[in-house]
Amino acid sequence: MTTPETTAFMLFGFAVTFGILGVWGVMLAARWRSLRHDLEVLETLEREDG
Amino acid sequence: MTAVGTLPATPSRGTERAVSQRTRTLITLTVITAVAVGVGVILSLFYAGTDVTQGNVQRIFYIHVASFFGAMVAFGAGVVGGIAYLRTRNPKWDTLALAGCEVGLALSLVNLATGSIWARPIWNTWWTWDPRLTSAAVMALTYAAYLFLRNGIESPETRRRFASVYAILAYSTVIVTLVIIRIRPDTIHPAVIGRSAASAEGGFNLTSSMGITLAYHAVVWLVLVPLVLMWWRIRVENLADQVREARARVAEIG
Repeated sequence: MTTPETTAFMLFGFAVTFGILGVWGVMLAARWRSLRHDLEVLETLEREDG
Repeated sequence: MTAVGTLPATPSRGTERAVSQRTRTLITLTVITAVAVGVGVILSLFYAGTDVTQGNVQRIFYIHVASFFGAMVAFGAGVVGGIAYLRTRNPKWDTLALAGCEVGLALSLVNLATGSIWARPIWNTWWTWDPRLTSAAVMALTYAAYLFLRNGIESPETRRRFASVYAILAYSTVIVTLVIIRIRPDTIHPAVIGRSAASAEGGFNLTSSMGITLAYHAVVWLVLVPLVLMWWRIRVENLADQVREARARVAEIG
């Protein structure tokens, strides 16, 4: 019995796994940066107005 | 410890120190998790034996199975957070539930995608409406709907109450997905652990190296991966809470 050549599917599977988790991580990091920026702006406004 | 002759740390300094300590712990845990996942990939590629009937594609089964376990744990955190919020009304529990549901969704997408990629050479199709695949898709869609629906509710109290009840009820889809290959005789999805249904296609016998690799992945994806991802997600949500509070204060001043 010959073992089928399915290496490309295996590599695709690993790439998709780390791709999904990577995209999620990048989105989380982008959200963090955006929130930090918002907080800095709001704190500046608070200091100026208060 | 406070040195003699120096002032004790102020509460704000103490809080800052605790936050930076937690950040260091989280970063350390993240590095450990990344290394552990990397070791898992190495074990899959070089330690576990090759399945003679499927070839190398069988190696993604370790992540396919383990990511489902991770999703189960993360969705379980959604249940814990939901129940604890309904009992205490402490928003921190709702944050835990949100993190659990979002991380669980990401891990179930990994599970669906790797399953689909495995199915292409083994079942000769990317997708089929098999009971197991259908229940896994329903599970992922149920949790995607959780994220959309909770964002559509304005009142924070109503949103948290709704999300808590939803997260608890949604776990029924996880249980159905878990047990369906044991109770439906017509599924073609093989059971990796235990006996498969007679109609299952693409099953394989675990050798000792495959069993060890699967057990290693299960531990890493069951404990470390959901813990670290949920922790990061909770941090972002805590920052979002700070922004909402600051926005309310600025609106009051204005």
